[in-house]
Amino acid sequence: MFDTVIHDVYYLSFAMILVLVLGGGIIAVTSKSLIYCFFGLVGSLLGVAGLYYNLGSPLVAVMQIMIYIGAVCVAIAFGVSLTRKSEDEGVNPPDIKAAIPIVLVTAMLGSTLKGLQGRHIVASAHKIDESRIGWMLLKEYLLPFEIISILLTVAVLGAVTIALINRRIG
Amino acid sequence: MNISLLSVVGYLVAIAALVGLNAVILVWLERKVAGHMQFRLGPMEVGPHGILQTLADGIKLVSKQLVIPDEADKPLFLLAPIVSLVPIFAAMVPLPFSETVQAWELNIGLLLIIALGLLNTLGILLAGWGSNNKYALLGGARAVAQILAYKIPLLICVMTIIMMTGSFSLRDIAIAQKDTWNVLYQPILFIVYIITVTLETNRSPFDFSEAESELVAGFHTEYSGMGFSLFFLAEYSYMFIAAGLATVLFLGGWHGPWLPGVAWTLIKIYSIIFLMMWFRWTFPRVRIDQMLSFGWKILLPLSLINFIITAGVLAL
Repeated sequence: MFDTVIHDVYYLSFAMILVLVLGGGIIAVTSKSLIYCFFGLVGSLLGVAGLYYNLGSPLVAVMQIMIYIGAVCVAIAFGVSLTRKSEDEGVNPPDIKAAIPIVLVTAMLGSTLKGLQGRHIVASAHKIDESRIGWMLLKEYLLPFEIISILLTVAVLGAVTIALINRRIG
Repeated sequence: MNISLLSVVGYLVAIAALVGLNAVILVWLERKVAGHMQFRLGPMEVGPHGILQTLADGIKLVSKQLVIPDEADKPLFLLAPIVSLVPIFAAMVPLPFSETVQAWELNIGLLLIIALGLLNTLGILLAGWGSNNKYALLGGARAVAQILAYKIPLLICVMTIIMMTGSFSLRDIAIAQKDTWNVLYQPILFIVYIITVTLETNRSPFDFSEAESELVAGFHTEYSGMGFSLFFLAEYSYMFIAAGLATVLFLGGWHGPWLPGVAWTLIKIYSIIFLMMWFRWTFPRVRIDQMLSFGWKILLPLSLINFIITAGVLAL
């Protein structure tokens, strides 16, 4: 009996995650208040973490929380708290231009789904050992991994340089 | 996944009870510690040595009306205490109390706790923004500003321990310290860890987002009744989790002579909490810029150097 309950709980959690991802996304795109956009984004990314967990990869889920909420969203919150735009002004409401990415993304997702239609997809039931990911990053894919870290270093240095130039002018 | 629903429900109830009981005990303990450190007695009226004082306060807080300011952003204002409390239930799951008492042995338990600790800051930011009060907003902005300054040294601390043990599982880390506790190998790291978690749990001398003497009550200025007490429940639970993590990472988890494992875990956890309370009532609050430069210029290089030396020693 518990098995069926767990099965139901699984579907229930999937539905809740779906609401969180889509609802958060819609809030993030349509809200006029910057802070609502921010928390919509947080909700959406949290939902994606839940999705990863439901797919059987807690490591990816935790990394999603750490990187996207802990690092990216905190950086955005930094940005929000530094903006001077007054609250009443808000951000520009979405206009007709905003429809272009929506159409493009919908077309892309639609074509992907169309391509997958009729194919039998089997989720990999066997668990992937997390330590293998570490080995692959530091052995087989060491060079791309290091190039990405160089890219990030360059980005950080660039940001510091831009900040310094602005400070000198100001 | 073959977890029976009963055990899930059982552990959830146990964790909820632990969160509540822990907060009741810690609020009383904090007032007692504060009292005795200032040559007072602290609460004495309700029950023997005032032990039921928190219960009385709790009943009062529950029965109070929840006041929402007119100008507040209502949904965000109501969401904030929930956002800071809910992650705790998940963060308590991988914490081992003894070799057998653990809600769920998760091989990435340590990462989970660290990741969920980040959500507390979002709760504070939500409260700060939702209250529509300048003190609250300043408190929220400070919480975001300080997160990077302490999170990176904290993560490097944790990385060093993971490197020494070779596992993200809290259980494995505790088992690896059966003979020698990590604190003997890594005393500097232990100090860095205690400082960073004092920052993470918003405890004085680093309680910038509350800072009574500067910001009235910081992010929870506008909260009353249960809103206020949920924040406090969250704060004391985060203290418990941070001290639990310190116990597992540095103080050998449940290992100790004579007493059973759970008793040792609780003794160690509450000793660290006592240490954090001791900090609060003896150190004056530092300024936020002092803390930020301390975080970036001292804690970060210190933990990095320690990390590199540990890596070198392990490689030899």
